[in-house]
Amino acid sequence: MKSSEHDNSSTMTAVSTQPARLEFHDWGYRHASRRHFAVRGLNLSIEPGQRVLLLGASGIGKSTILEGAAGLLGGDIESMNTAANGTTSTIDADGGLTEGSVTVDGTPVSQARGRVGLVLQDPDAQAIFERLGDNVAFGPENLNVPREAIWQRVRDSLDAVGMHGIQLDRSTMHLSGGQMQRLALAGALAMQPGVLLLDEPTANLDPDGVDQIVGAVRNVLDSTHATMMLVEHRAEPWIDMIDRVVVLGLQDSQSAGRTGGAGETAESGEQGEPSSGTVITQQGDEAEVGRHGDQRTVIIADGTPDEIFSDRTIDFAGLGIWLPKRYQRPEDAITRIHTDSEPEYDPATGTGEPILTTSGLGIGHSEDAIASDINLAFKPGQITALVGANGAGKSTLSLTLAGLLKPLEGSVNASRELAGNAHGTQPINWKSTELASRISYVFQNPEHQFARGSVIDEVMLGPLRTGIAPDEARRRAHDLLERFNLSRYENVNPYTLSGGEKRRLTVAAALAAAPRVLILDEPTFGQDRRTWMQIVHLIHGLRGDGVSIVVVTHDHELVTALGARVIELIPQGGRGQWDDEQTIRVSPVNERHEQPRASSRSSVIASINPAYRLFGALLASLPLIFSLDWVSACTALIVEFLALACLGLKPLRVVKSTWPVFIGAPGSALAVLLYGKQGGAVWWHWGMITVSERSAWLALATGLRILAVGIPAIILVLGIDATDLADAFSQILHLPDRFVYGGLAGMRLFSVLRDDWAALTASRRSRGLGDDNAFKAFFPQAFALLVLSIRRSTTLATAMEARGFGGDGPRSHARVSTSGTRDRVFLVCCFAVPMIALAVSVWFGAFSFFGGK
Amino acid sequence: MSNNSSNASNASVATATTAANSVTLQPEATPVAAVRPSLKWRVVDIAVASVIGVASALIFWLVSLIYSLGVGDLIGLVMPGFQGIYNGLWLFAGPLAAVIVRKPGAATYAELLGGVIESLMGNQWTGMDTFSTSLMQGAFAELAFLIVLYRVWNVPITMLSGAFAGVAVWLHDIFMRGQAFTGQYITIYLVTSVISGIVFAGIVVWYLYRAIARTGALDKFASGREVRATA
Repeated sequence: MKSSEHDNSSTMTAVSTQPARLEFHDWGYRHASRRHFAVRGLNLSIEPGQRVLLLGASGIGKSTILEGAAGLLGGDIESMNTAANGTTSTIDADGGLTEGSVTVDGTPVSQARGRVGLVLQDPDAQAIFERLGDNVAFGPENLNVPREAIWQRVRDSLDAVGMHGIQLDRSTMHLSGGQMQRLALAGALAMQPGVLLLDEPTANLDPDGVDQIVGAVRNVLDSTHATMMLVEHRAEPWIDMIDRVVVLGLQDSQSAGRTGGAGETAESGEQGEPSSGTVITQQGDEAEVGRHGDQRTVIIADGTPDEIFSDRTIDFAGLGIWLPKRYQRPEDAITRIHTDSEPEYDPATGTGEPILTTSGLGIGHSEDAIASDINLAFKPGQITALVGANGAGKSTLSLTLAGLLKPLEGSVNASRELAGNAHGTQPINWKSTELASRISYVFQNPEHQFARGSVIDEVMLGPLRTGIAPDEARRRAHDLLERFNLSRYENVNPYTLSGGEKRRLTVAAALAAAPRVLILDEPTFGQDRRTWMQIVHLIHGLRGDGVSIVVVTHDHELVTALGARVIELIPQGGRGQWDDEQTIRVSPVNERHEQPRASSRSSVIASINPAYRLFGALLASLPLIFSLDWVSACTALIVEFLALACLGLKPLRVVKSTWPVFIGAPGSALAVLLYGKQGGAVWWHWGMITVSERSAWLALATGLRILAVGIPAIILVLGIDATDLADAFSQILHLPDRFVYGGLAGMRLFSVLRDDWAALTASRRSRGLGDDNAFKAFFPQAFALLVLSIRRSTTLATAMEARGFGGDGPRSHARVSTSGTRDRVFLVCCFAVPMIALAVSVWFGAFSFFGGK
Repeated sequence: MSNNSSNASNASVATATTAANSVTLQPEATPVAAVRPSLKWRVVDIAVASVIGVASALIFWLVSLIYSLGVGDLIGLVMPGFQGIYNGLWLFAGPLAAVIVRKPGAATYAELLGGVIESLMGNQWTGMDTFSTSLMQGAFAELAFLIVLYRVWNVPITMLSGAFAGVAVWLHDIFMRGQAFTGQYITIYLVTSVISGIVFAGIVVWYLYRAIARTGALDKFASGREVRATA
């Protein structure tokens, strides 16, 4: 594309690239089924080009504020009412209640689509489509940007985030976390927003990924001068580009007393738990702020980073914030935790003989080992950190250690003490219930682990499965819930807890079966400083129990606080980032170029528009239904095999591709032979079975016809690419884009769900549920998958709306779906097959309308 | 199935607690007049209906695989027409999407999407056959909710929806493959298909939806808030 075209196209677009002013006027929002407002009475004004860091305790409503600013809340108004004091509120179709307004340059944000771009925390949740480029093109499409301009914007945006020249049809499946998040940023940039909102964009990334995304944002802001609002607990890498810090708190409407939310109540105890004075009145995804009655969200501090971070009156630790290094006071630094009750030996070495060792271990998910000859030993009371970049194989190693993944070479060996009377000494060979009482695994996503309908049952599951009496299991569960500050949720459904609570519950549930080895996968991922403290104290506290602890992490502070031994996984040829005790060499993370896959083994069929292929399949098969006779079916089959041979598909290849019909057809034919309409000579009769001359002919006709109908239907449809089909549905058949692309986005979740299924299977084995027969195990696991997928799809909807999807206005299309004379000729040829067959049948007098005489 | 049943009983306890914690949805000021729910699709409606279709496609495909390995034909040969009891397993996507999303067309959309994706994955009835049968099943399932103008959401209507879907699969199968069978065979096949539809696409679907709602995953939907607000 020439640069002159680029210039033209950017003037053609309606979207301005000017930095915008963002204003909240008495704005408030209450989520569906919640008692209290997440945010209420907020007044905040952000000038064009300002770069704002938004701080506040977990649960103060920072994410709600960003969603509100992005215009994602309060749409589809179902009712409106005016209170006695004159304030107006609306209830939306999500069941949420909105007060006040948010404007961008004076326009209500709901009418300023594309002016605000939003990047969310979870990189996986923001990839909407399978192909990389399509994700970036999606925003401009929804803003009805002309096609030529879209691809220029896609390239510009990818350049801006440092992904210059990346293959546009590459699958998002093989991107690293850092790349995924940069892709999400590029997707927001392609809409050329005046305001960029970032909601903890680096929380789920490894240090390398953090550097990537911070660098990309800096480049973007320097070139576009867009207004930015950032929510982030770890301000350190961002601090140089921030020019304003806003700290939020709550204020009672009646009194003038201000409170910093959880800041004053939390973290007084040694265990880092909220003190007993804290009233937690609300449960949910992010609600650990004590709230009561009618409270307003207020700005308790506002100024430059220097002013705010030097202010000694603000309790940053309580707000869940890591202070940037240059502002840290000695008490803010993370140091090794010491408690009176801890054992005397060093956590890095543990005590006594190893209880778990590996000898010559090779690990990997497929046949190719990503690392081999691993020799490790784990002792009671020892804390080991497995570190390394995202994708290096930390989880692969930890799953293998946990007896959830088969070693490719060598073995994992339990000591006699650990193995006890289990089947052998290798964890992979143990029964699920034997595993649960010996080695526990806490998954990164707590929802992969939940298996029961209430918190207490969740904790009792392990003990019950490993043969402990119900009374003892209940006593143990009570103790653990008490210790983890979850007692008040005993009868609550685990899924409805907040993020920090869910994580505490999974650890409690893992400990309930009294394992000697506890493995935690990224236990501090995405947690704010307060929850982080709780988890760290909790892990530290387990040392006294003589449990050998393995944490998979890339959190330096976690390792420091625990005094853990470090084992680092380093790609071949790479250099270590850690001060390690032991290193494991792994094969480099694959950066492959992908070949696009042909949509059919026949190049002719592959070149036909997918919508025409579907209709061709219909025309080639459906008319055969009108006559049930062996002549038409046989003729059609012969013509089909000849035609497909001309298209480059040999008969054997056709049979291989359509094998299921060759099983289905004889089965149906046999059924007709035995139970079909009777006539002519009766050859055999027994009960309902009557084999007659007529039923035999009908059976032959049925069998042949199933083949004749099935073969073209399969061959013509097999291999159609979902994206191409969606484009054809939209552009050739003019089906509504909302449904076509909503469905396509749902399809991308398919591969995500496959990974979820694998994780669910592993977690069920780890929890002692893996010994049930396949049928019994299938339904609860399928239910867990369904819940996960619905949660993922609501997040997906947010990501799609953040890209401007779902409006009533016109959309443009970045990809073209074309059809021409070839496609129409193809349809005629398809229709000719059954017509020839039926004509031959009439000619020979065999035609039999719907099998009648 | 012990997991399922214990889930259900525990979950009912959980709901009671949640309800105790729970809330009046009305603002403190003035009560909101009861309004008829909007029939317009939101993006989240489309996303959830889509993912129900996608997850169902995976299950349809597994069910088809098991059926094609001879299970279906075996039942059909030993007990003619009784293989209809298997059919409900292909019918649940439509009613499930309908009772959750509660928008016109949800049943048709989810069942059709499930069918299209299943056919793209490849099975023995692939391509147009899966396409046409899933469209019919979805449209028939839809009919039950259309009759009550999308205002009644309960077990009987969901069962009716499952029954209609059972009729659809029967009609399609007889038309496409069963023209040669005796009247007795066709009747048995109808009865078993409808029973299977009522059970798997009606009763099971309803309690599945209630269990999902209890996890809080459906809080953005009127269907989910209804379960969370009442015990």
